[in-house]
Amino acid sequence: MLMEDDNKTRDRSKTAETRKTDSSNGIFLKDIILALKEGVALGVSVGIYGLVLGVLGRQLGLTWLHMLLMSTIVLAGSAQFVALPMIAANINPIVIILTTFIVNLRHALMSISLIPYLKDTSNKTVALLTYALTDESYAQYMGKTGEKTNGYLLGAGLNVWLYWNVTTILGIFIGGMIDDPIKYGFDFAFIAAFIGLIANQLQDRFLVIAAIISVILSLIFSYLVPGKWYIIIASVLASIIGTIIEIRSENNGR
Amino acid sequence: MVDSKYLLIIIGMGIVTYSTRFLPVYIFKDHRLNRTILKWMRFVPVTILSAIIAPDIFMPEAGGGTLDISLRNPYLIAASLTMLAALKIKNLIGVILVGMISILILKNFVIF
Repeated sequence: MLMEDDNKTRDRSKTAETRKTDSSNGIFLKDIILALKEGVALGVSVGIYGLVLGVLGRQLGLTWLHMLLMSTIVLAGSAQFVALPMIAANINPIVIILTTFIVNLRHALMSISLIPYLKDTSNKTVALLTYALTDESYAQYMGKTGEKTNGYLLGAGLNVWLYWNVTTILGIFIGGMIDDPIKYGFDFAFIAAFIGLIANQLQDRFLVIAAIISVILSLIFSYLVPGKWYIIIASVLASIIGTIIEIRSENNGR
Repeated sequence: MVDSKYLLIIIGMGIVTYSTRFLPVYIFKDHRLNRTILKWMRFVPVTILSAIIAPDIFMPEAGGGTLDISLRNPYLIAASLTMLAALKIKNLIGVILVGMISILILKNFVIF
């Protein structure tokens, strides 16, 4: 009897289903501020990419207004990096937009995995919260220990938006002044932040196994497929394998 | 000057980007999702974040973008140290500092 109850509790915690209280569905300033505070390090690494993009933009003849419009309307680091040279080279707009779509398709996967957290949130609020759904804000929200509030998600997005806009515009003005050795450190800040946020989520062995499988698959597929497809393929497959391993181990009466 | 072609391109980019972020939640959030899908979703954050950074660690661009699983790969060593730190301390700023200091030392003072 006790065993059965135990299993039930465990089952519940093992689905992504989460019970959210009213306080996590509303948007509160204190959660936004908390996200901004905890997002400083991620923001700095976003900012380094932003500066590099701004410098590239300047070389391609863009003004601060071009940059502001692009960084606000698109708000997607790697897509902007890919698109800028294409725009400068006068490539067919349809091709540029399609490329952007493909580069950003991984966000659809992130978006789907947010459903358990947003299912009691109004469509309007979802429309606002997903505007700034980026690799960094998603990582910060998912890696947050404790309650995941809508305010925190908004704050994590705002955080990325701020650093990205300020630095991509700044890059237009400063030109090529970033020192290389320092850049290594900040480049790695992004990787280190992601490692920290992943570590927060490795709560049982199934998640650990899935993460390791995803690493291996992403390495293999980054050789095999063009662009960023390896991210989506590795994540979908590793998640399926993790699910299968978990279900099998449950069926084995453990 | 911002011309209309530039504006059209970035508005198009903005629409497709936003649709990848908003539409999946919007379309599926009111559906009852079956248990297996919910189980699968639990794995997405960890696997997608791992897949985003793995190539930067195991095939660093500085090494020509080829697979390097050896002690001569500073990114792999720094990432391992960072992971150890992350499992010990829960403070994200601390973890990031461990990572940045590791890579700066490895890159600048250790000859690879």
